[in-house]
Amino acid sequence: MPNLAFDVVSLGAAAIRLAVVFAVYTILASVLGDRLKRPAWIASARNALYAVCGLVILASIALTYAFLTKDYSVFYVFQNTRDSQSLLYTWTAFWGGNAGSLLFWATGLLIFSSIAVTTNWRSQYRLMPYVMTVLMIIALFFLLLMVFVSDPFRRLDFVPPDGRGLNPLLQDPGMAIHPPLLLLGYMSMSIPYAFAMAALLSGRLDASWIRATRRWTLTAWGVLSLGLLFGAWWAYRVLGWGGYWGWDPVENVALIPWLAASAYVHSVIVTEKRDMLKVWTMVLVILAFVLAIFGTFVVRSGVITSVHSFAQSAIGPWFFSFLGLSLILSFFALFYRLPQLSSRRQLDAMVSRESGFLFNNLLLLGLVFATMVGVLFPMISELVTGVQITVGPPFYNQVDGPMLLALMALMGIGPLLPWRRASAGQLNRRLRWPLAVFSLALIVLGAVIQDFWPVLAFAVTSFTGATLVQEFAQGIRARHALTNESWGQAAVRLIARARRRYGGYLVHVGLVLIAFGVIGSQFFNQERGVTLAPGESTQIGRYTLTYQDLAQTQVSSHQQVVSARMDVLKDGKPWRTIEPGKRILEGFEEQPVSKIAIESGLTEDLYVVLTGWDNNGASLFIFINPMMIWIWTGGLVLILGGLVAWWPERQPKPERVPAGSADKSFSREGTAHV
Amino acid sequence: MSKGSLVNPGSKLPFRSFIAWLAIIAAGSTILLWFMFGPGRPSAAPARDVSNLSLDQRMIRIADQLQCPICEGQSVAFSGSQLAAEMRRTIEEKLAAGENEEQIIAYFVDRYGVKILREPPRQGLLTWLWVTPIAGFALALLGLVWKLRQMSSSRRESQVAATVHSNTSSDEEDPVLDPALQDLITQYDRDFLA
Repeated sequence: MPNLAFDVVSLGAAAIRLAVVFAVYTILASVLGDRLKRPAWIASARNALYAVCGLVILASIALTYAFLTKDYSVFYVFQNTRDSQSLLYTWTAFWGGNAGSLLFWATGLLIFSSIAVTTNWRSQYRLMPYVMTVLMIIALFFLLLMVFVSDPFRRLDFVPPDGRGLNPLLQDPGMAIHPPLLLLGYMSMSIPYAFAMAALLSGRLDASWIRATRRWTLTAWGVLSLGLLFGAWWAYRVLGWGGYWGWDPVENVALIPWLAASAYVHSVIVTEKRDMLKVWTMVLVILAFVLAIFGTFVVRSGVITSVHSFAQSAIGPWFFSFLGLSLILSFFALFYRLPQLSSRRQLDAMVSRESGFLFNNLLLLGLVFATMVGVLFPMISELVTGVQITVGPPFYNQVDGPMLLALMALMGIGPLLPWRRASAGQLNRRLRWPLAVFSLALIVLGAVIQDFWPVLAFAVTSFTGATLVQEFAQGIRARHALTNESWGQAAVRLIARARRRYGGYLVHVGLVLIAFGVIGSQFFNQERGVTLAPGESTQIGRYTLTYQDLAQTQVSSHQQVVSARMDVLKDGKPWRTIEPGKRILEGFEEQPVSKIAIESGLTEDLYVVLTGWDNNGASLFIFINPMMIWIWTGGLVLILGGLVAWWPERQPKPERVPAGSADKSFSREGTAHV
Repeated sequence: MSKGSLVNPGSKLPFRSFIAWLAIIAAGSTILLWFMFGPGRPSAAPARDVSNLSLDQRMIRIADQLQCPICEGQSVAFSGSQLAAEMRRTIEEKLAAGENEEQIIAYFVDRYGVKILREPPRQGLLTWLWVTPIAGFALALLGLVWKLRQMSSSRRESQVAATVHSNTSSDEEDPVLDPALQDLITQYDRDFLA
């Protein structure tokens, strides 16, 4: 029995079990320390939290060690790597399966918790016992899952000579980075949630929990965005069906928390600036967290694929119970504090920035709801009528599509609305140029394209783009006029001085670019499936492709590539030679992965997939995907904007308050809830 | 920004234009619903004249409405799997034999069940797939508008004092700056200096 000997793997397993004990201790010490007013106990709870963090990190190191030493006696290692697997993908195999993902989640959560607790210890001291309690309950759930259901350190009775290896589809840089980003994004939603719950539980309901967690929320949102973008990029480069987003259940459950987090990021602005919508913001933070757990749950239990897999997966009922409990308890706490959450301020007018944010929330939650219905409906249908159905892209294109378009329009209008109340003159002044752009786009594109939806979508996106250009131009102009800075300097300072606002606008610019790309590639793509004999040609769009011959290369001792060499003419002139192919990895000879030839340009991508070959020739899928590069560029801008908005503001130096003047130091937020 | 519009609650224009917006939204959703449920709705593959399409284009049109049974989230048209390739061949053979789109799709539904369709048929319980999100959204929209009207009208009675009070310094007009600039500075001040 290898279990008896002292080794790194047993150490990892022991660390997890010990972490459970410390987590329980943290919860007890925090709660009792707060109830019985023993600061020492609360400090001790914090130390226990650090200990849990250390233990989980230790477990992660142990698992990494097991992977790097290819210790196949560990079932999880056996499942996810093999001798011939490259070093990079041996690392990333850590989160290639269930148990490792849970450990990754827990490790990330504990590290983030430790940072959040440390950095807010003084400023949010009164919330801390509850923050620690909530975070440790979440952590405990994942730790218990690892102990009882899905143990990353489970040993086999024997030592297999070689492992099974990671699915070759996952052996791609996009896939190496996509899952951990999604998991990180899901997990970081726990921090704002824990602070919100702490505010509810402790009854300290001023806006300080929001200020403490604003950047955590942005972190969660940004990481989820990055995760989604990498997922799309991976799908586009590896899956070979010509697209980047398939409205697959697994993609949808990643999108849903992102949408909820986006709604929260917006509504929190109203709560912070206007001290309104407090209950609503609480609802959103709870929702975003629960949906993030739901995302982890679906990805990790396979419940959506079929009802039957739900029963088979041991993890399903656990997640389901946790999900239900956190929903019920969160809303119970919210309901309990409802009287204290009423806003003093009310909405002033129907058309105002506030109502703009509310409509934004409505649309985002409408998207959450619609997508959720699409994800869950197959399950409902199977339970109720026994009929299995597929809810594919057509449903989402028809239901989510128009809502996304409305959201795009609102993204243009909303930021132009002033707080409190909009006057007709203001609206007219701010909207006339963008509306002119909208009309122009409608007329010009309508004359060229003559297809209702793409024309409307392009025009709406142009409108929003124009509002953003106008916002930046006016801001820069105002700064230039007021400060005599050069234009460039004014632009940089404008963004740097109001990071949240202009960071947010940059995110919007990114979304406009993405929207252009999505509309272009959605409505104007061309596709062909052909089989070509050597020397034979085919034509698509402006391109003529001639199949030359098949080349077989041994890339490394474990990887072989078969590719079809093709000469491409663009507009009749020689352009490029492309080599779409298949990668064949050792151990997965039956599962070759496409090596897609993608020739990107500003207006369109030529995208060629080799699907098969025999003596007669090569079978290919050929796509023209317009404006793809806009999506990736937009993604970069979006992340950049998120970073700008996230970047810490310069803190004002604390001033010494003379003794005896304490009553003057009430902040606006401090008194707002009294 | 004119001071009058802020102080004077009787300024009807924003409200009226809001009603106009609502009308546009209502018209938009009617058109949308008509597109979706009315005759000649566009489905995944927009109804074009099929006769001038080549055989392989017609094949792709059909295959793109079918879900590959063994690969998650991919249509039969562009899935690299063996099964999808065979299904594509079957479609081509059937097209060559003179069968039309409906017949071919019916054949696959017969063999694999409704699950094979990427877009579930709108009949029986499955109608709720479309009705639920649209009805839910419409209800939420109505609720929000109702709530906003309620809030803003209850405000209107008691807001004059508050409005004047909260805009002490930022509304002073500077005749040198043009209105757009003034407008922006006001907003800038309110956002960041308040």
